[in-house]
Amino acid sequence: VRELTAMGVAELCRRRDAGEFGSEEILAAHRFRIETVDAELHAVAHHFREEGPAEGPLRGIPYLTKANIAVRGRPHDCGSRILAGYVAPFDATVTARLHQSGCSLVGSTNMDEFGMGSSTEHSCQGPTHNPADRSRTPGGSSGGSAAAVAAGMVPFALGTDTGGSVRQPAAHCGVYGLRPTWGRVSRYGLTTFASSMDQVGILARAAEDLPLIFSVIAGVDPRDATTRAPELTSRIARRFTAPRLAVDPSTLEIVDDEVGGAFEAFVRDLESAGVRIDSVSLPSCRVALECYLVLSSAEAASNLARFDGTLFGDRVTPAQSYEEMVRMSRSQGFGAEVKRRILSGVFASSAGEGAIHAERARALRRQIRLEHVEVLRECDALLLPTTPTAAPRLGEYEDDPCGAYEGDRLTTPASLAGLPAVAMPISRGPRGLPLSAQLVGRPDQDEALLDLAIALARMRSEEEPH
Amino acid sequence: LTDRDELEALSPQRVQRVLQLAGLDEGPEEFAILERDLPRIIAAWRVLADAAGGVSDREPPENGCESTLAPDLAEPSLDPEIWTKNLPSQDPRGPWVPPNRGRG
Repeated sequence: VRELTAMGVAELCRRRDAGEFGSEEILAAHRFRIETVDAELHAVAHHFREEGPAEGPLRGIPYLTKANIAVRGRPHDCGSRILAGYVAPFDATVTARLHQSGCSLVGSTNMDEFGMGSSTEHSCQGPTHNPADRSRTPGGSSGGSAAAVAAGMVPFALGTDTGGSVRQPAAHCGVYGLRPTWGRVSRYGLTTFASSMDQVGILARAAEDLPLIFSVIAGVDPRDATTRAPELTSRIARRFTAPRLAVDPSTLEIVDDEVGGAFEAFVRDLESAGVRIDSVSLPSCRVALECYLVLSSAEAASNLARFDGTLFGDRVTPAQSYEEMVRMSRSQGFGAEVKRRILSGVFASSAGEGAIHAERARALRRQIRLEHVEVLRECDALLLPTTPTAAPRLGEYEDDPCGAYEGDRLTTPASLAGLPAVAMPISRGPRGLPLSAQLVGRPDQDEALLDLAIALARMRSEEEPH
Repeated sequence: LTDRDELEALSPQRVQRVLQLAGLDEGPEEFAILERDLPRIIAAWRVLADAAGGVSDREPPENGCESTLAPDLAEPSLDPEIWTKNLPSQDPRGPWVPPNRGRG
């Protein structure tokens, strides 16, 4: 069982096809692993026990999906009390495509309510624990997906990334995390948080599994008008013999010594392996977090208006009037972090002072994208740490929401720019906590970015002592 | 923003208006967020003022359209113009046509 649950998707398929084991054994081994370890981690929100192996090239490969991605006939609570008991009436395009390829969905994962949070503590289901250290958070908001992959419950899982919700938990749990270019993967069936940045992403233990799963879920979807197919030339795989990466030294000013030391060592190793590192400057990225908070909160306040106790989920009764029912349902249904975002979003989307902030944020967002595109004209990718620190302790930011937001400072620039980004594990710190670097690629060149991530991962593994 | 603006942003009338627009009850959790968290969150947004210097007027938004804003919280205006000035019928570019429609 341990051997099967330590493999990635590609290796499982290769050895299954070689007759070493069958798809039923793959599925059974991972179900057993979930039963054994999830009681301590609480990564899985809802178990789908009756799902058997389907037909297709990925038959028998189990996976988990974040609880804000719809699966017909399954609970769809998005980590929120307001959606407790709500069952999705249709399949998201991504889960439908994975089913068609043969994958077996074994459950949905715990998450920060509606994707708002960086620790998976803001969930009606309670917190998820980090497999590397149970006293720490797995990051968020896709913390359940990251913890499950890191603990060997599944070889890959789906998450969603608005401001870093795939990359940041991937970093804290020591796995790979892909945020695709906005528009490359359908969001039909994803419950929106901030529509201009939301994207479905992938968490996996093996770098080579990211392009495999991406090829299944990416592509035009008539049900999502924002999806598009890039030019064919941008999808041709590239061989990176001498990659050229850009590093903005100012990003190291906001990380702690543990992350900074690991990142600098990683850069030195890459240089010795023949990677060219250019020093660049992206000045507007210093305020990317604040831009993100203004814009995403404004979008969230609008998107979450639909949860009013009438159509979806829980309704508080009795009430004296319709308005009172709406207010009570929302106040009792939403958690504190969601209320924080809605309230700040209402402020940001109102004329007057709020509009001034929003206007500045919109202008800066455009500038952030221009600065990225300019740097990526010359370099294959931008390289930066994924998070300012290793995984925080559970409850560390309970009374400090602004401190918690800082965890997204290095992931929000790519989100605002709509660019593809991959978080990759680079080492473990002195406390044994995973540390990670992030590659940000050219728009629509997700395949090339993943080739680069695989190349760097191979360079890294060749240097590690055996 | 000035300090006065910041304080005014959280006057009792504005608190009530924000809660009304948010569709939330006047409960202890909501008031704690408004009194303790929101001023700090909004104050942090001030860094955008310096960073946006010279940026905001450079080019129009990428998609060429402006969002429709809710009324000013300080003046809960019922002026209908606020709600009608951005209607598609008054857009000089003409009615919006969904992409991928009407192409044979």
